[in-house]
Amino acid sequence: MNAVTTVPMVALVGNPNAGKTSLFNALTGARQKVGNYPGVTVERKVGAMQLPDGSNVEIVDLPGTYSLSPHSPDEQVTRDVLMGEHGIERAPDAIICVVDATNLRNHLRFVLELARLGRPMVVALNMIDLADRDGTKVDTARLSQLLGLPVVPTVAVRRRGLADLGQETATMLMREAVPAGPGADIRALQHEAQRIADAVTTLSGGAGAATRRIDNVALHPVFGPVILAVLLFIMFQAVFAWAEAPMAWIEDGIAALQAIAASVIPEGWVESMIVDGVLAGVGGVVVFLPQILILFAFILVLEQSGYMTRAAFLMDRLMAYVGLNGRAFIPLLSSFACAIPGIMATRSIEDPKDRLTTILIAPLMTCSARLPVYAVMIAAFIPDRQVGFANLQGLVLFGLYLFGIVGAMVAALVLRRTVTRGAGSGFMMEMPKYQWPVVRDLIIGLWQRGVVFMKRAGGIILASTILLWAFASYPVPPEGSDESPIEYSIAGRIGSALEVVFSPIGFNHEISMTMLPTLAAREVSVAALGTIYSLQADNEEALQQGLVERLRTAWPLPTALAFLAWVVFAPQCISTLAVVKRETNGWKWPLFMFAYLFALAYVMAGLTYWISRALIG
Amino acid sequence: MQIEDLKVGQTASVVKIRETGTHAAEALRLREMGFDEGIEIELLHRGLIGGCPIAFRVGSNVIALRKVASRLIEVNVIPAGVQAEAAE
Repeated sequence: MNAVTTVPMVALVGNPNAGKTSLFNALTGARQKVGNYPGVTVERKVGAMQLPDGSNVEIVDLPGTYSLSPHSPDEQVTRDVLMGEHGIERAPDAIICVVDATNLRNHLRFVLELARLGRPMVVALNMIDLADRDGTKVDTARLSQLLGLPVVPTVAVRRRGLADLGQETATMLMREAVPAGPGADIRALQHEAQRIADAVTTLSGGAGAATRRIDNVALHPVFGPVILAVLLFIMFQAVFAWAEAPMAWIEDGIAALQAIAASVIPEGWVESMIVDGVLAGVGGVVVFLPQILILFAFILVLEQSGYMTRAAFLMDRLMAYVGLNGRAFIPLLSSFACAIPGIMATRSIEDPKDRLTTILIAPLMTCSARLPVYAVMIAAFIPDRQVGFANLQGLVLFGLYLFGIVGAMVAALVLRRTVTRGAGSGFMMEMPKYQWPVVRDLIIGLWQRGVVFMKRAGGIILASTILLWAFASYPVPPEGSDESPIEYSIAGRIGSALEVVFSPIGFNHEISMTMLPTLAAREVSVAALGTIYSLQADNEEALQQGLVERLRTAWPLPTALAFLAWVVFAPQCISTLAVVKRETNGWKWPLFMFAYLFALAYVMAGLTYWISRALIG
Repeated sequence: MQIEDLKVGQTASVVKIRETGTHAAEALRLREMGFDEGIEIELLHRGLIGGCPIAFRVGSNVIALRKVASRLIEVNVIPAGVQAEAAE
């Protein structure tokens, strides 16, 4: 390898909660790339950092870890890269270790462990302002002397100390690594860290008094859950209410584009593909964005402020009943809006098995795309009358949500004892000090998630929508045929073939026909049924009204109930499967998810059909 | 005694961390989180149902654990009077 032309590589490491991500964002700004390490679901973040002499170095943000003894795939990557044993990532030329100045004793232990690797290293003494506020004085010069390493005080969120950090990094890059020393027993490291921390800090006043006061309320047995419930209520209001307007703009915009395309392109298959395939597909992807970004903005704020760990604390006991971890709560909750951001949010779950279980049950949470289907079915088949003090239609809707939740809990219990068996790492976590979220970190985080969604999910959604369009449009029935175009198409023929599979659970020809197009998105089944019954309507509302009337006369009640049960449990849209593929790095788990949800939905719909038939007669 | 026997607001010092056999990895994690023989801990919060999980201060850090994991740690209560003296 030619050492002259290779850009030096600097690894950024540190304990979780040391402010590593903030420092990485401050050092690189928007000049960062996010990807995955091949073969594992560990995020690889790399950026460019400018040194004082104007030259650039590559800086890799390694996953946070407490030590070089890995407990998770993330920590394994960090260890392997630092040891120079990672197959793909090269060994770093220098290390920047981020240390929380208010938590020196614990973080110095990791510094001491890293120092034994013999690689050139700089210590970033971060959050020095918080230490000041707590009345903790740290003697930086003495710390540097005792560690034998350069120490730079930084406040990443205010971009303080960055120039000095760059200077020291440049100096370190001119040094050569020395052979690694022998690893030390954790106790010896603990004691040495304690000794150094005691020698360099003078403590006065109560550390973390503000956090303590907040926690007395936020983790209070009564007020704690109430505050959590209020926060979640606001979050949901925001996701549904705030997203409504931008979603309408996007839909209008797409409709306008479709109109333009239809008028410009000569009628024919090209026009149909662009209008009904490409534009409808792009619209179907982009229309999710407002909800996803709002949801992620809330999640990022909860994470950055430190509240997320408190929410996990409050929910852990309940989640433990089904073998999950408190951290699974927020991702599952997000899935009520859409399973895609929910599954993406499972990244905060450390334990791989807990995370996989959470991903697998997330689609059972009733997403907003199922609401239009429920609305039509309930309006058509459930009488609008009072039962005690509640409305029967409302009760059924609530019941459908409840079914999904109970189904998810049972699925988690079963999965935890079968495919994702094995002791989880339990629930052990540090609860960081509360902090104001930083706008820069928020924007970078949102941007990265938006890009991931558009790139990874968008491509597959687009491709599958075009494919489904083709299936639903071709071949075209010959002139004078009394068969509807969708019956005659490939999708229709596959649907007819599927009838063999679905008739035992009471599904009719029309339902079987919607199975394939519905894979694009749940709500498509309303439009698909409309097409199949050849309903002509100018707008969505009129279509729903017409469909309600039609279904009421066309479907027996047991079939309708079975279809509702199917929608609760059935495998979700292709976008969900695409995101599961990305998050689990392969086709194995999305295929498993499809299979188990299909089986579950089939059995539940079948039971509903046969039981209700026996009861109604 | 064990951490779950402490009352909210009580302080104790860690006497021993059990790290034999199947508990080795968990015990190592506890050490990485800052537990160590001789360190002072203070019970801060308990979960609503069954008092689990438990949150406590370890040195200058706040850690949350489930009861099961906390049973690896043996502690001795520091009586309130002793603490006040030490602070002076």
